[in-house]
Amino acid sequence: MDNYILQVENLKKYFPIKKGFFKKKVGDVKAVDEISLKLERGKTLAIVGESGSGKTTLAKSIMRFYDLTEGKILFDGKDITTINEQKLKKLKQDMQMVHQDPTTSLNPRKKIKDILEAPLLIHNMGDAASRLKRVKELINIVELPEEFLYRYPHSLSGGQKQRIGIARALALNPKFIVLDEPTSALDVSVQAKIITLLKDLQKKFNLTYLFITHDLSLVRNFADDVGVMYLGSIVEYSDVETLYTHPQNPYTQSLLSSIPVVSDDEQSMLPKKIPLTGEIPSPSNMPTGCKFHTRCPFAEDICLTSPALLETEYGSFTRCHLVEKINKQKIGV
Amino acid sequence: MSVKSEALLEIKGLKVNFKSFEGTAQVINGVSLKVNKGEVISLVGESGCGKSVTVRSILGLVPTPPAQFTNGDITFEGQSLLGLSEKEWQKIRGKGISMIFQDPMTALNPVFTIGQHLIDVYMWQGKRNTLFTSMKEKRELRKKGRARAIEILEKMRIPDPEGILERYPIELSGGMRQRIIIALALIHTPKLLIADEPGTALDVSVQDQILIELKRLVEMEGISMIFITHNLGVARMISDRVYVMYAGEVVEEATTQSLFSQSYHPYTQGLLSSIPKLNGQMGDGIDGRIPDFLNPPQGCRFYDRCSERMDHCSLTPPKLQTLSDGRKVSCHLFAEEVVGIHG
Amino acid sequence: MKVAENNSPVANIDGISIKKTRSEETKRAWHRMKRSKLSLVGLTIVVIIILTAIFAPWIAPYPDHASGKIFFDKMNQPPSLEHIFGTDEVGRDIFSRIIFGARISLVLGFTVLSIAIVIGVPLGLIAGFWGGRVSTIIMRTTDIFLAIPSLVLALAVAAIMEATLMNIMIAISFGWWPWFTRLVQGEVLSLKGEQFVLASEGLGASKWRIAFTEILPNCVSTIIVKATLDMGFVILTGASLGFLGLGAQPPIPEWGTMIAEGRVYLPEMWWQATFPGLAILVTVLGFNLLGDGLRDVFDVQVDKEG
Repeated sequence: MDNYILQVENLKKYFPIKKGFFKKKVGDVKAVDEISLKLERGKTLAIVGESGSGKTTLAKSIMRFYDLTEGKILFDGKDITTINEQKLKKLKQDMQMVHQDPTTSLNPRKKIKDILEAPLLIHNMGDAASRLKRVKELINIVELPEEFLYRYPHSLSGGQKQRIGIARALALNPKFIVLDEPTSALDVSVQAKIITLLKDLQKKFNLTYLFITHDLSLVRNFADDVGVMYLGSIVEYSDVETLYTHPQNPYTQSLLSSIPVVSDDEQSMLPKKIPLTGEIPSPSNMPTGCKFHTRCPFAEDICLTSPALLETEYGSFTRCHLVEKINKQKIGV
Repeated sequence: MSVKSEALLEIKGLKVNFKSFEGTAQVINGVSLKVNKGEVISLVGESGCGKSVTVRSILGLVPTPPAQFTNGDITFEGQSLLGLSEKEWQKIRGKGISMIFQDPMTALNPVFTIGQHLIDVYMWQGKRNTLFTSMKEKRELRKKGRARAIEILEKMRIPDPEGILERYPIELSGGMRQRIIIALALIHTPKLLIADEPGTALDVSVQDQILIELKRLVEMEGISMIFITHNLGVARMISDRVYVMYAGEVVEEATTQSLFSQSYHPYTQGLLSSIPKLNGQMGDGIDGRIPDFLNPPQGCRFYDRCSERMDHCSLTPPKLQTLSDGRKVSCHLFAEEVVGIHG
Repeated sequence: MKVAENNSPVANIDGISIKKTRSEETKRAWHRMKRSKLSLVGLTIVVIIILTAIFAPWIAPYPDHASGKIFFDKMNQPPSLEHIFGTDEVGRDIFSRIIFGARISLVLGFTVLSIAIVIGVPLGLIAGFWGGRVSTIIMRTTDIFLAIPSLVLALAVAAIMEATLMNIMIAISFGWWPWFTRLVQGEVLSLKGEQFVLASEGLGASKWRIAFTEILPNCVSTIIVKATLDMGFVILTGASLGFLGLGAQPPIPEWGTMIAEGRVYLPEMWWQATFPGLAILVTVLGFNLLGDGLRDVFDVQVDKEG
């Protein structure tokens, strides 16, 4: 069997910008612009990016919430780029998502039991008794007491709600789960609990995760591989260890250098501070050439042409014309 | 030991209750803190720890009812702030104490330009009635306000300050809006600045730039600052001293340097270990959730979640004590180490 | 030992039984309702009217006066202890007729609103959730209906059909459903972007399932508030049509019809038109106050931040 559960080839997702009375198309928001990835079974791939980087659009495209503009997605060896609604529904049994904000991702008018039963009902699974058994099983898996089943979401804490979100995603025994910033709305002491739970579940059910986040320090503790996204493209792709010890792209370096850390040990691990100018440009009006050149302190004339994603000496991949020059310079200084 | 520093703001044993039909929630339970002149302190804690209510009390922004101040006092430059009239407040807000709010997207009014925001705040601070201000005086004030607005924007190293004044909030990026909000709070050069998690809504790289800028600015102008955050890393970066709050109480207080090299209270330790580290180490987090404020535990409020709880912790609440090394912690584990008997 | 007992913090905090949370919920709602004295007044009025309508034959001092009987000996009597609201031109007790009139008004209100909800809500759900051409067709149709004042529309319908109570109810419903379509469509548009809808889509749920099991339950409170507020206006519209002679026909004790009959004798025999008029006023007021109160009850409070 194929070792990769998910393969994405040259994925593009553009949203048209329409203007005027006749809704004439005047341009594209290039939310995801030619992305390729491969995801091994039982592993976690993190996609890191700031807001506006297109990371959520990428996740939703893979989940097939949208039709793609271009590209190909292979899931479990099968091409799912264009499939009909029936097959898509079937696909959802293997592919699930945990959403960002547990407060809004649970229907406030439904009891926990009904929320957890919904996926079983949608896919016509079992009778009432067997469904209840499964729902109880699920709530035990996420380590919550069974009496929670008869409560409404608002009486639960944020962490408890997110556990319900995870239980819902597990209901259909999926192989692959997209985690869309599952802990960004939670306190750190709760975040740690949820991450521990997710790691345990991964081992127990041999799950593959695609982890969408903006938090680089969380990635270090959770993922196996990392893709750093900037304006719809992957600018650096690496295994987690290499990314933190030898970040190559100036964007990755600047992101790492701005993490507020809590100890001197960690401080010494950070790259030297790279002052960026301005903020991420709008994806509707993208810079030409290297997308990062408008903010990059090292930018030169060559950066007006698009760089390719190339392998570095550390085995990672990065998208930068000046990678050798920049990193030599740093060692020299 | 050290030079006796002068307190600018002091909160002593503040207790705030919120009344609702379910009962009385004891949201702030005896918080004491002190800000010295020119000092930056952080109030750190997770949601529900009472950090926001504490600083809102300082500015008189907690509505009574439903809130009740049952105990304690807040003094600013020796003057008590509890029970001030609205007129007296207007003299203090802006010039004495000013505040930066959390959300850069909603704190600016979309129909006014940045210039209008800044100049208006400059012109009307502390004035109750603008009806009897003569046109000439208004013109003078506006001119001065404009000059001051440009000055403050220049100090914040914002490019093209004159141009920014003509722009509307919607034309600016989130980071730039956050900078404008900081400028608004600093336009009168207050003695104390309260910052309620500025930048949390922004990306890390932008947040980082803003915090560096803010720290530089308050140091330059000699402004004291209370910085509220849930992010210990941010507190470490910005403040001289840190107060860790849990469930309406200060559980630990220490200089930034000492707190981050060795924390004492089990909650602080749990919190620090929960933070994902760059070396791949991350604790398991803390079990349970904050206690019910309507029925707070009889003993220590952290008892249920504490990994080092002892029998008597559930019976008597610990007090914030000064240890022999000068640090303060509110935990029975440190009972023997108390120096002298403090109130 | 004590330590061991409290070892599971989750169970400790969440040891509240389900029943308790439910009654807690009701209590909270009642508390919010109580905060406004006026909505309590509204609730009282509505309860009294409903009880009156149900128990009309037992409350009314002269139950047989609700019919078309004639009492020559009691014609046009002013209010007295015997007939507290006086009698009409054929000697019937106005108080008794008003009590029976409550039945007509409530039946009218409930029927019209039920029809309007049954038609309007699904259309609003479809228009809001499906969007595109379907939505355009539905919403433009409602626009056309809304452009004609509902009273005029009802008049037209009533003029075509025979003037009976049933027909008048159909006529009013005809102009009322678009309001619900509008309301629900707007609500759906804002709910459509919620994460729980996306989550359901991610589970493979069909559009119908999402619309009816995820979105509709979140619209219910808005619909109830709107229906309560509308109740008064529907009764008023019914009475207006009755007054114009297009609604319930005499001798049915419909309040509008009664005003029309009594109008001729104004101002000398003022009680004949005034008391039915007051009944309408109080009813409309009662439902409006209650509707406002319900709006506060359903307004979900945002969790306070510490």
